[in-house]
Amino acid sequence: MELESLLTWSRAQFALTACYHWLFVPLTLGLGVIMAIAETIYYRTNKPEWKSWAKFWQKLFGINFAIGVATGIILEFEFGTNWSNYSWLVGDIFGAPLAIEGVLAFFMEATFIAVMFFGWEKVSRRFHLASTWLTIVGASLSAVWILAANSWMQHPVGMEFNPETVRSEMVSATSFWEILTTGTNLNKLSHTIFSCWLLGSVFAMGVCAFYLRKKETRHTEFALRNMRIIAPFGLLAAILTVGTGDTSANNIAKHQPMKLAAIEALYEGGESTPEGKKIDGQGTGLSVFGIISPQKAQPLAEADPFIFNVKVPSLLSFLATRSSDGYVPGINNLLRGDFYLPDGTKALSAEEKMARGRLALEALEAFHQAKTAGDKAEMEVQRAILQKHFPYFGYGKINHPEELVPNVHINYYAFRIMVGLGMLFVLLFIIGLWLSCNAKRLQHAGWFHLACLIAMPLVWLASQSGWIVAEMGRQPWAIQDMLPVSAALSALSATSVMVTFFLFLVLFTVLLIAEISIMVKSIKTGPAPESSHSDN
Amino acid sequence: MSKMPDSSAAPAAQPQGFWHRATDLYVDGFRTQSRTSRKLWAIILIKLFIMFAILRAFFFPNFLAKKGDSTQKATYVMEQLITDDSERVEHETQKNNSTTR
Repeated sequence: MELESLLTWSRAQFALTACYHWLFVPLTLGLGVIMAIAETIYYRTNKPEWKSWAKFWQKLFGINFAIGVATGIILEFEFGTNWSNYSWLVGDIFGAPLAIEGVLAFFMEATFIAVMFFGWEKVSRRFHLASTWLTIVGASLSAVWILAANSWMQHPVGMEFNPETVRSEMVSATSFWEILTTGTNLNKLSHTIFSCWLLGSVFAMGVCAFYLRKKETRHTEFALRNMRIIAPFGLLAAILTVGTGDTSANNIAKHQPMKLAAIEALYEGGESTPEGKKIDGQGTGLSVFGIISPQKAQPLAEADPFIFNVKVPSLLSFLATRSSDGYVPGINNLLRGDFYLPDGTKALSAEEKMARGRLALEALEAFHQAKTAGDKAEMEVQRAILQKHFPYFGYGKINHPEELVPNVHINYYAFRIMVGLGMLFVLLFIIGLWLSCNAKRLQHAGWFHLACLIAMPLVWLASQSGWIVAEMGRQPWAIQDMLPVSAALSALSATSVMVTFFLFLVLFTVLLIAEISIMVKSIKTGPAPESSHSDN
Repeated sequence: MSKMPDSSAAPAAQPQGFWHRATDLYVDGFRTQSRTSRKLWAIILIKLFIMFAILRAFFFPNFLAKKGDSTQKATYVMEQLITDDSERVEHETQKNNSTTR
């Protein structure tokens, strides 16, 4: 009971801090590029209005940056306090990327951001523009390292478990490179950065639409001319986000099949051939939208949990295997292990994996007993057993196969919110691009301005949904197949975690209110004419 | 007759060094900030104070720091991993409660 309560509050606290942190980060990365594009236009044309507009985007960027900066450090506090077993286990892998983030990206940002804000009249236009671009490059580099760490948790590579130190350690000089360049990481990095550009574009379009809906025409020119540059950038970002999203689903199918099955609420995938095809030759369909019955959605129970389900035939097979009749295992197949893996071998059932995991844990204990007794030969025997079964190490901590199934409802709906909104944003920017070809048409398209304003909160909803799928879809794992969240926890009192949860809730809500109020006030004021006093 | 320098005239602009210009950038930048910028700096400083002086110091100690040196920490984590999660959490909670009493 205590474990359940502690686990719930610890996960809730981590989710709260991560979600709040992610309100600020994507706007920094997305708006930063728009701000830099506006300044590039000023640099190339030397038109003073573009200087003023670049400064305006820079001001909104600055507000968001100031409020959001360091909110991610709280996650690191939580690693050390609430998730100490996890921190110890991953110390070697996590240490390097996070240290690089701290040293390289932070100092890069801190240096160039000062030139960007303070240097308008003090450095050359070329150096100022370079500083603006380097600020956003620095901010994006910060994301590279933390995303590398996150990707490693979804797909642990380049490491070996050392039973002496009880740590995952990099096996060679190339391990770090391997961690950085896995398909999972490269895809996560690109998908995340592109989605941030998309979020920044939707936000900036919304700001422009706000001015176009106002009766006074003071900022109409700003809105029309900026929309002309934001629409193509936003469309590019939206298309790239969708494209990398497709690759992401393919990666999930390879390394986290249970996550994909949960996202699709796919309980039964049918039978497979040793070649990895569906035995009936009919590919698995992708659910476009459906309603899941809460009663039916139980592992190893009914096969079809849907009250209704609209599917595209064979699309899930194609998404997961790049073949229209490729086999996609369902939740029950993964638990029973009644299918063939892509290499032609038979999959293991959850029970078999749990048994191997327990052997690995017993070997770890025996290794330490042998070490205490000074029995080196026995240590080597136990090390070999541990290494043999280490791919299933985390399963040794699982008590029932059902624990291996993530929350199907949340994953299913969050995924559809993310993808559905992503498609709508593509449409929004196509229309925006078409309208922006004619200034009059764009100015009088009231319905489009309203759509841009409505899209503003929705883009955050899509972004948050993406992370919900990424993080809740990999449950029960803190590190895929290696460490479940229940074992990653520090043995703290649930009450103390609950107290800090509410402390964070208050702190972050105050910060969010401060951000929104300062941002709204600045947007209402709008860009200052270039002749007036510059506003840092 | 050589020309004497005119002491009443403004001194010719001396080329300033890098460090002087860099310092001037920051000093002047902070001095001429807008009200919004000052407000944002206040928010940043208050936030950092709450995070490091209150949250980090009182609510987020390094859990493993009190478990001893690296070898003892490794043994502690190993024991945590080989023990059933419910048992280890119950055990630790009881231990903490008895220490508090």
